Parts: sequence; structure tokens; C-alpha cells
Amino acid sequence: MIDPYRAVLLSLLLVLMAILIWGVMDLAPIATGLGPMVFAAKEPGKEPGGEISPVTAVLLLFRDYDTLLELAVLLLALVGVWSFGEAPPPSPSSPDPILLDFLRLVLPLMALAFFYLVWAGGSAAGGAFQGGAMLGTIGALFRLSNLSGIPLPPEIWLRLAAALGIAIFLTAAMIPLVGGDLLLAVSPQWMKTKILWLEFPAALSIGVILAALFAGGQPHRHTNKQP
Amino acid sequence: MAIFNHSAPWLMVLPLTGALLTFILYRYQNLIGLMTAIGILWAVIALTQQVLTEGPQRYSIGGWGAPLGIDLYADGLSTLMLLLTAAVGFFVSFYGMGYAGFRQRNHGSDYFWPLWLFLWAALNGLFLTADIFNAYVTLELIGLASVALVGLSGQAPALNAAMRYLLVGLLGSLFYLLGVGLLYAGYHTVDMASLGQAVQAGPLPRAALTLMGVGLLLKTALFPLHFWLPPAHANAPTPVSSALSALVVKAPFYLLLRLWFTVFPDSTTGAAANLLGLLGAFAILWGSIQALQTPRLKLLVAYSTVAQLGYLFLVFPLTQNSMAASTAWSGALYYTLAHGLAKGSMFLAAGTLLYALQQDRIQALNGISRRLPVTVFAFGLAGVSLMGLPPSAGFLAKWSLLTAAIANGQWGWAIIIVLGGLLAAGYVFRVLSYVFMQAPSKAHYRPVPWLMEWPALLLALMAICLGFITQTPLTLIEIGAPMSYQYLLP
Repeated sequence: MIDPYRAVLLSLLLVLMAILIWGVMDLAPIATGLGPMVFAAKEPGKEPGGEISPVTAVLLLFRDYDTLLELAVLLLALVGVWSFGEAPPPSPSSPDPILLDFLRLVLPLMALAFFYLVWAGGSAAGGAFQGGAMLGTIGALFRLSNLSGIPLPPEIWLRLAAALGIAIFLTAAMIPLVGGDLLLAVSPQWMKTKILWLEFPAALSIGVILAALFAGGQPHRHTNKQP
Repeated sequence: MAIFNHSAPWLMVLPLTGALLTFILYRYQNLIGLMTAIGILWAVIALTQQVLTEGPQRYSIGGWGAPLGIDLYADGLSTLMLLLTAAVGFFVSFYGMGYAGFRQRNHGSDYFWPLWLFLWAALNGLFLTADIFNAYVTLELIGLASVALVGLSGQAPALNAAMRYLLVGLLGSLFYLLGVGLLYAGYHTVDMASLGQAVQAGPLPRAALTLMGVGLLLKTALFPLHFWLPPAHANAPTPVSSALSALVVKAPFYLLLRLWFTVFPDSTTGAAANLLGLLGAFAILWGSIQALQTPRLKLLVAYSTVAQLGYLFLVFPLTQNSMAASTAWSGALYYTLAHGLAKGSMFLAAGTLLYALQQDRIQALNGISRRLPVTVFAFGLAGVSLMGLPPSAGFLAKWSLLTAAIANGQWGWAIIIVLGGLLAAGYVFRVLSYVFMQAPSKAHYRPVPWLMEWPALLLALMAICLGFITQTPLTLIEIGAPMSYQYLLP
């Protein structure tokens, strides 16, 4: 009792898998990649601002255009989810007291960790996406613990916060362009500053977007009179 | 002005800014959206003039340069796609503003502008990028924006189609990403031109090309991977259907052309080219037959897209023989342009008919030409270009493909090209025969705002005019073409 469609599909996928293995076998076992080039290019003369982490340099200097578009992907996902409808209302049951005690303990620590992760991203592991994930988790915890008594900010503030990261990024991209320079160009002494200026708003937006995606729809408009 | 020395990055910056502003300042979204559309049109024209006078343009973002940073690249092919996107996008924007389906205050209608401008930015980004990973990011943007746009009406068939579209799109993207990973692991660069120099024939590039190719074929809906297209394109709101059929399915095809001719010229084989051509031929036949049978107008137009996409894939077998390669290249690119304009117009017209009648059964179109002459005229003109009747852009494109096939002695493809034209005539006249019927209809017509009538006609007129005004587009197609140009055409 095998569905013929599935059998055909499975055999085609097996062929693709064989081709993939055949290709991977052809790979050279040791490869340096672009690593040395990144290290050479990220700190010309090791001047001001100290070290820049190689991962951050790739994300926010060399391939910052990709990062800009990835922020756009996140915001687009939120716009898409909001376009489908309003979020389901939170469950009416009151929050669990043990959970509340736990939150009192852990939320300040998480907020601290958020700031540290973003700040450290300039020179070590961390950065906007990691910090944003932490912030998004805070939002998800609030949502899960049924704290419906806490009023959400008006929707326009949510929209502004979600768009802030990419707005700052776009501004940073446009300033050199308007001055006749290349898109997203930056001189070496401003690299570290640019990274921090881009990362904090980006982390805020990522966190807000993740939390709003977790809620699963556009926030309820309280101004509308419900029957 | 110094600001507009570089028009290529503005093509990304403008629609992204527009999308953000329409999301935040949603009260003024029509005004912001239209200003963005005009700005993009201006930037595309500036870029076209630059490419026509100075040849292909390369632009390093941030000044880092190719292996480390990301480059933008605009040659004739990119510029042609950008022009098509700007032309269709401009009229879709106007139609979207007037689209009465959005006036019924359903939830999704507030989100048309931000989603559409994100989609426009992503399309521009894909047509400009010289980097295979950046192309992946733009593909994701295109996919997500399209899925959300398909589901805007919030009705069950649309949401079903959107869900299926999402899953197919993600699968296609992942296949593509797998290929990108293989290539980076093998050659330490994701820049198309550097890859093209580094890649020799071998198992690794063949595997990468196969995986990326399967992913892109899934996204561009080549037969037999087209199953998701008709429901998605037919159930989307009309301005969205138009953009999807005219532009979005062309985006993965464009990327496939880039990979085939720039990145993997040594790894491609005649057998693979013939396979793509064969699938294209089946698409032409199968799509046309479905279009001849379906009872609904928008579904007919969607199946016609499945069929017409088949023609584009004839470029692979027809360029195998170097003698007529340049003619086939011109023909296929001209076909992309002609189909984009004509299909964009046809979907807009079909959507207007659907709105006026409140249903889109083809039999219900009895005698509607007296009520909506502009829309019916647009539908007819678009049909002329789709069938390939002279004088239209579709005619010139089919003629070039036919010339190339005959010059190569590839008679099989020539027969398919002619047969596809006949079948297209069949399904277009199937609609027109009802439309022009003199029988008085008792149907109740809804009044249609003029913004839902004229964009379709203007787009169709452009498809016809490009049958006369051929010099500039043909010159553009030659710039940076992957083969040397020989002139078979008189």
C-alpha cells in the first residue's frame, strides 16, 4: 500500500541526496576560507576603538547589506502575520503565583543579559540577534504568564519599535549615499561607533518583533468598542 | 547632482524606506506609496541611461569589494528586468490604490502597501545583486512578501493557497541555500563573477547547480513543479495576481539564467539544457490545455502563466549551438518583457471583470464589452501579445525564438513554439467569444472606478508598442550578454 506519488517523490529526493553526497565527496578536506582576509581588513592599523569581533565585522561591516535585508525579512514576517488577523486574546485565568516569583527573579537578570550581549557584540561573541532573542524571550514569558493586567503600549509605539532598527540602518546607509559616497560606506575611525549605533536599535527591534510574532497577530485595538 | 551618480542603490533604498513609512504612517500610505513608485521609476530610467552609455555597471557596497563585501551589478539583463518591474509595478500601484476590493474594509487591506513595497525592494535587490548569498536573502524576502500578499483577502481558498505557496517557497529556498553552502565551501567566495572564473566542470559544481536549479524551478513553477501556482495566482487580490504572474515568477528564472550563463558555464551540459527545454515544452502544452478547460477566468489567466513560462526555458537548448545563440538570448529576454507586460495587464483586466460581475465564470461574461469597453480592449490587446500576433512584443520574441530554432535545425522546438501560439489563441478567443456576444445579459454590474480600468490598458499598450519600438530594448539586451552577438534578424 504505497502511494505512487510518494514513491516517485521519495525516489527523486533520493537521487538529489546521492548528487549532494557525490558533490560533498569532491570537497577539499582543509580550507581556510575568507578568514585571513577578514582579520586583515577589519582593523586597518588597529587604530581606535579596540578589537572588533570577526563575526561582528562580517555582519555589520563587510556584509552589512545582507544584515539590513535580514532585518527587513524579520519586519516583513511581522507585517505578514499582522495582515492575517488579530492575536488570540490571552487566557483569562489569573497568573500562577510561583511563576510570578520566578519572573521577579529572572526578568531583571535577563534584561541585564540583554544589554551585556549587545554591548559585548562589538568585540566578542554576541550582538544584536543574540540580544534581541533575549528580549524576545522576555516578551514571550510575559505573554505565557497571563499578565493581562499590564497594558500594552499603543499600537503605533509597537510599530515604531519594530521598525526602529531597520530605520536607523537605512539612515546609516543613506547618509554616505546622499554625500556622493558609496552605500553604507564608513571610514575606519567610525567603524566601532557605527557597530554600536546599529546594534542597540536593531536588538530592540528584533526583540519586539520576536515577541510580537509569538503573540501571533496584530494587537487588539482597545479603542474599538467590543459588543 | 552628486546624489544621483549612483542610481543602483537608490533602487533598494527607496522602496525599503517607502515600506517602512507606509507601515508606520499608515494614514498617508497612498501618498507615500505613489511617491515611492515615481521615485523608483526615475531611478530606473537614470540607471538605464547609464548602462546604455557606459556599459555594465559594478558597484561595491561600502567600498569593500567582491570576495569580502557585496557587489551590485547591472548589465542589460538586470536593467531589462528592473525596467519591467518598474513599469508593471507603477501601474499595479495605481490599480492597488483604486482597487475596490480593498475598500470593503477587510483586515488585510491596510497592509497592501508595506507588503507590496517590500516585494518591490526585494525584486530590485535580486535583479541588482552580484552575490549568490545576497540573492538568497532577496529570494526569502520575495517569498515571504508574496505569501502574505496572496492571503490578504483573508478568505479560505486564498489562505490555503498562501500556505501551500509558503511551504513550496521555503523548500525551494532551502535547496538553493544548500547549493550556496557547497559553493562557498568549495571556492571561498559567493561573488558570481569570481565563482564563474573559479568553477571548472566536476562533481561539486554539478551537484551545486542541480540543487540550486531544483530549488529555483520549484519557485518559478516549471512543469511539473507548477502545482502551487494556479491556486495562488488565481485567489490573490487582483493587483497581487498581476505582480506575481508578471514579475515574481520571473525572479527565480532570472537567477537561473545568471547561474547557468555566469557561474556554471563549464558545468552545464547539452542533456541538462534539453531536459529544461523539454519541461518547458510540456509546460506550454499542459498549461494551455488546462487554460482551455477551466471554467474560471482568473484561473485561465493563471494557467496561461504556467504555459508561457515554458517558452522562457527554451533559451537553454536554443543557446547550445553558438551560431544562433544570440538570437535565442534576445528572443527569450524579449519574451520575458513581453509576457510581463501582457500578463500584468491581462490579470488586471480579468480582476476588473471579476469585480464588476462579482463572479468570474467565463460564461457569465456574455456581452460585457458594452459595459466595460476599456477593460475588454486591454484584455484583447494583452491577448494579441500573448498569442504572438504582429505587431506586438510577443510577436517579435516568438519570431526570434523561431528563427533561432530553425537556424539551428532544431525543428522540434520550432513546432512547439508555433503550437503554443495556436493554443494561446484558443484560450484567448474562448474568453473573447463570450465577451463580444451581443446577447443582452441580465447580470447586475457593479460600477468600476476608472483606476481599475486604465492601468490595464496602458500596460497592454506598452506590450504592443514594444513591437514597434525595438531598437532600445534590443541594444540593452546585448549589453553584457554572455555570448557574442551575430545578426540573423534582418
